[in-house]
Amino acid sequence: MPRVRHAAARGIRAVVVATDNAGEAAACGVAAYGFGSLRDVVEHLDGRVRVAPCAVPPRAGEPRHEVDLADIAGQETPKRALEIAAAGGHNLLFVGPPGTGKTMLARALPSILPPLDDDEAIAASAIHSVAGLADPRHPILTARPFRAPHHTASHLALVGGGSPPRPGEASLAHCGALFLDEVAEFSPSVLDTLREPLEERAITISRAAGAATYPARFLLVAAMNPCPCGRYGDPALECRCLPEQVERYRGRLSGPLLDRIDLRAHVPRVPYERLRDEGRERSSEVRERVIGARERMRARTPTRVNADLTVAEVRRHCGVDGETEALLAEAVRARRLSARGYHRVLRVARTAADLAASDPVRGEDVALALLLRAEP
Amino acid sequence: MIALGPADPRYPARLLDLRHPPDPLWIDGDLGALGGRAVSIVGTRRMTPYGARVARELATALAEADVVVVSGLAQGIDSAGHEGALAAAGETVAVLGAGIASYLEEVHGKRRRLAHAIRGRGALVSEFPPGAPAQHWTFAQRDSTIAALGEMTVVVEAPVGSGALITTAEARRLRRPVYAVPGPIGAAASAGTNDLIAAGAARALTGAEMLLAALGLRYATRADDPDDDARVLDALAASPSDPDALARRLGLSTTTLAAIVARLVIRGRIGTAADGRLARR
Repeated sequence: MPRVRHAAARGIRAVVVATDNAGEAAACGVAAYGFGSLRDVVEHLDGRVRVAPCAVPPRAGEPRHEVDLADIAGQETPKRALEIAAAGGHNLLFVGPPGTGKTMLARALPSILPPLDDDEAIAASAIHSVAGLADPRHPILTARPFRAPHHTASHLALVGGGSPPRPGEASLAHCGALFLDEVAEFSPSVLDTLREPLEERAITISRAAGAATYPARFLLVAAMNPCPCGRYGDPALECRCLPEQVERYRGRLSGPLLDRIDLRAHVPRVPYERLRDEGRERSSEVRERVIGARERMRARTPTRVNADLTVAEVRRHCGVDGETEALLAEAVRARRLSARGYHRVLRVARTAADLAASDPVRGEDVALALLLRAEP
Repeated sequence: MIALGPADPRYPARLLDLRHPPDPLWIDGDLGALGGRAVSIVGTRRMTPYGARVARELATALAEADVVVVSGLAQGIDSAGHEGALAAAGETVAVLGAGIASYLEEVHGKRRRLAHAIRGRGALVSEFPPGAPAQHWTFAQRDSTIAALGEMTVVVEAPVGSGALITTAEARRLRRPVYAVPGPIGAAASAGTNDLIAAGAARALTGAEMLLAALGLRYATRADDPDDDARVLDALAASPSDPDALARRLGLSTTTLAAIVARLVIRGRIGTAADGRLARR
């Protein structure tokens, strides 16, 4: 599919491909002729047997989401964090005891992400096509990818490789989300390979057989237990871990990776009586707000979501009132907030304000960003 | 590093009350930290977030009153005590269960940094030769030395059978005051301390103010917090909490709570723990 797109971009209007790939090729906007053998191709070109170009395959219908936010009881703050992540492209870490719904929250993410636009759909589908994962009936994706590799995943599986180089999970998550459950259980060296895509938004794989660069712009959502036994901070159970074991466990999420995570939310055990709460918001309502916030971002910085704002753009677009600015300045002076942390708080606050359709960043947006920041 | 025998005039006088004062005592750091006013803070390695906060708070209050904090540089309460003193730019003494050189060689991570910080703002001391490895009996002996170096001993959290209880027993033998921080009934980390209080072997400690009063010192009281701030700090006194539970408990909207929390975080009164919950500092 990337080859056909490349050809189409250079003015080629008809291509000849294998029957199975004809649908994918047609979706790239060229006349695609699918053939089972070279003899068929020759017969077609000689005009003995005319084959009609493959019809553009229909897009799959509106995607169905496995989890709706309304299925999840309580967890107001983790849900807020998820909404901010979806809107502003901020990477997110959930921490909480086992069985409190970290995974379910993460799986609700696709239901609140904005729909793919045409360019994104083609780009994401192209990667699936290269990996051989495209659905021949609906080669063009309609739902944002949500990839959840297991914690035993290798380098190869996560960022790709092999000969010829094939895309990994990080690229398959392009334009969507990469979910790392039990992130502390991943091999540290494998996690480390995510630094490149998190910074460059792409992965270059070099092999003797050639180099390939695959895009990898994804939203990272990670989840972990608070300690090896999982009971740390659980009011009902006593944790059996020593302080340094807890620290080592948390240390597995290395500094460079943690540096790329803007949001952190604790996911607590929800008391039984709260499991029956009423009036939960549906994903479709949250998604409307996310789409609205994205439009506001596009109007300001057409190519970047808030998580990617440069320092200059933060200065231009994330101004806060005098009182809030004084509060933040105090925190920076007292070294409770690093310069990097300061800009990060403002980017997250900008997204919170966008979700509330507010032009200025308000004090409460900054407060929420401080509450959800991942830095100690 | 120097080694002092009991006959040396620079030898810490309080150690002479022991039946067998360490001979010699190896010291790496500031000798002055061993002679002045000092309180021993001890407790379990398996501390709770509550114990961590109390140990830190007590040590900070002592350091602000220029009292040296003595402990054993183990994980848990010991480390929290040393950190609290250092955070207030105070001096602190760590009594090691191994020789100083062998301890520094073995230790890594957070306690390694802590050990080096203590050398710079206080002293590392040991009754074992620099290269001596840690053994079971060395810790029990060191626990007694901790008791002798402090004018009084505070045990923050200790389960039944904890080494911290060796320190309190020695302090009682030396007729030095012993304070225990009461904990929730049924919590393993406080079973030993609650027993001490019940048996009359320790006085229940109600706060840093009581400790400083016992030393004849004044507690530098902080300015009163605004009402809402005080309510949030109160609600976090027993244990850290997630924002939603806290908002429900206080009957505040999450927006109102976030604003209060932001103010308190920036002033350094509370922080977000590594698991994302809110905790008092």
